[in-house]
Amino acid sequence: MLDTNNDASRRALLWRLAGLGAGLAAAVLLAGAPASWLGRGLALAAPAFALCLLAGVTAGELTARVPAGATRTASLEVRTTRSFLPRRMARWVAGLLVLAAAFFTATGLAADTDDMGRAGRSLTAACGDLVSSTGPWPGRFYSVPIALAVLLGLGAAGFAMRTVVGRGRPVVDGAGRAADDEGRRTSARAILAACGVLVAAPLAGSALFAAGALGRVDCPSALYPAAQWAALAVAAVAGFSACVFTAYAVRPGTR
Amino acid sequence: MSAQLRVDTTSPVPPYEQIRAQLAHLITQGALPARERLPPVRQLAADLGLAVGTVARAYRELELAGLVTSRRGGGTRVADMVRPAPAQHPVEQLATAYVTAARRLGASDDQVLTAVHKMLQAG
Repeated sequence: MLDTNNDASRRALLWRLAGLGAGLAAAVLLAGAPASWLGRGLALAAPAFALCLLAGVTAGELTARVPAGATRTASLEVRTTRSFLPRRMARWVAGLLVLAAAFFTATGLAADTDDMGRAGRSLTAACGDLVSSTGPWPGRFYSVPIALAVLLGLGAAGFAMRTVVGRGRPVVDGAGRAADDEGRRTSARAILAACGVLVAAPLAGSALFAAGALGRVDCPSALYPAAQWAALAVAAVAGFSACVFTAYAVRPGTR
Repeated sequence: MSAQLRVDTTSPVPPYEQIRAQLAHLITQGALPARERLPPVRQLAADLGLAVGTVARAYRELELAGLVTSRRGGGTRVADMVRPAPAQHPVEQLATAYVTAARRLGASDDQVLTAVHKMLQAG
């Protein structure tokens, strides 16, 4: 039986909400991970939320029923990702990705081994003859798992987007097509919002920890306060973005 | 509004042949201009609820006939050298539509001709 637009959008909404619920549960579980995880659970809470949301969106699209009547019609249109992706939002996510790459590269270069020998978890500041070490610092101890989660999430988002573009049209008349296109745009916004949370939330948390560590460096050099303000600015931008993208992830139909 | 394809899964004409014939007709009649991109195989298969291989076979046959060209990453496009068929006499256009519809129903050439003779004798 052919799906009507209402059936399809209701099913997509239910799957998206299921993904959202699972994502929140996973994020809460990871955020409350044992202390022995040294904050890695907290760093991976947002990527877990985004991955579950992406799974929900993909499941909603995959469960759209295929045309099964005796006579089937299709228009000779070429649907592309660009047709459904909100451009401003996509540019915003891309900007955050660049910012995250630059931030984690910089913190990775400045990172050092902590007192327990864990590489990339502490900031060592040489101030004249005095060498001090402070942490936790978002070096590769944190940035590698975050980067792996982000890459996994981006791959999942790519697959979800392909599913949104490629699934069959339930109807071919003008009004039905417009409603179907709107449903696909909503799914595309949910996917982008998940990508936004995926990148922005760990970046905001890491930047806050970096600012805290930089604030504890006891050195008269102007470099550390400047770096601390820069980290706070990154945290503010990423934190604001994470809030906006979370709102979009919950209600992707809004503009 | 873009052109539409219709596939009747109860017809004895295989779905790939129905797709091929309709696309060939649209191309030779100029309804699909040169270099016009055709939908990706997976998308068209999903829209029609058919197997990917069915649509891929139709595209392959069109490519062998020189009506379309496929390039990796560039999709399938209407071939450059396809010239729209010369304008038909209105009677020929009616005959083309009749033959296409009859073939879609799975009628043989003899059945098509017999039906025409019958109508001519009745009229």
